[in-house]
Amino acid sequence: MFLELAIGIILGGCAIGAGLAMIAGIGPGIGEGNAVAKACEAIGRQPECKGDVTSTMITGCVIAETTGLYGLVIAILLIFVAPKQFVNILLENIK
Amino acid sequence: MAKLDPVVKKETAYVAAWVLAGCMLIQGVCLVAGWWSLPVLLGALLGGVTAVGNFLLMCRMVQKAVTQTEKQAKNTVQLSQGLRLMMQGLVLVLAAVLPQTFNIWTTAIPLLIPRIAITVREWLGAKRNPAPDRPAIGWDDEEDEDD
Repeated sequence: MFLELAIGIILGGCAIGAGLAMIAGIGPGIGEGNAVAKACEAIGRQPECKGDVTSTMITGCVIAETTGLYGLVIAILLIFVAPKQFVNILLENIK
Repeated sequence: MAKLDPVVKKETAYVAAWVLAGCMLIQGVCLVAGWWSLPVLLGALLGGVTAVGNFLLMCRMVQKAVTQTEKQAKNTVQLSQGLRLMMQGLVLVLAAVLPQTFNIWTTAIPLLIPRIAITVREWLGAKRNPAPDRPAIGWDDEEDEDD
């Protein structure tokens, strides 16, 4: 009974953690969208600086996007890797 | 297929070189530590290809978005970012559910290498070309301008 409850808490905690980590995936999309919209505005004003703006945009998008990727990696690890490890630690401690 | 901009080609080649170097470094570390196995190699290959593919798709998206109107560009970027995040998520899930074929750690690490590559380049660029010294604008100067 206690073991089942403990495993349930571990799985629930991992699932909640993964969900919270994925909140980080929302921000980069919104931020990148705003940045590119402003880049379009800048190119509209000064079409000759398109190359520079594109290069800067790519740099900015990579940096913004990795934040979401960190969250994604953590969420995947929490769902697929962490529960097994935590349950193993629990079983070892019970023995 | 739309023609790739020279800027996009240059950036992708730079990131691909970094990802290749990073994957080789991972293999080297695993060999030295005695953790090397086929899943480690396959995981690094999967992660490396996904990282470069994601970067190329992102560059193409930026190249396309800068020719659109503001609202269209915003929607294109948000859709593209969501789809690419999903693609990377699927790759990670694939690596997680097939541990005999792919090592999840060596799949996940290459996905973060483009950020390292860009950060290092920005850092080196800032070191080589420091910002020109400008006279500091103090509170008094601003007051003078207002006057």
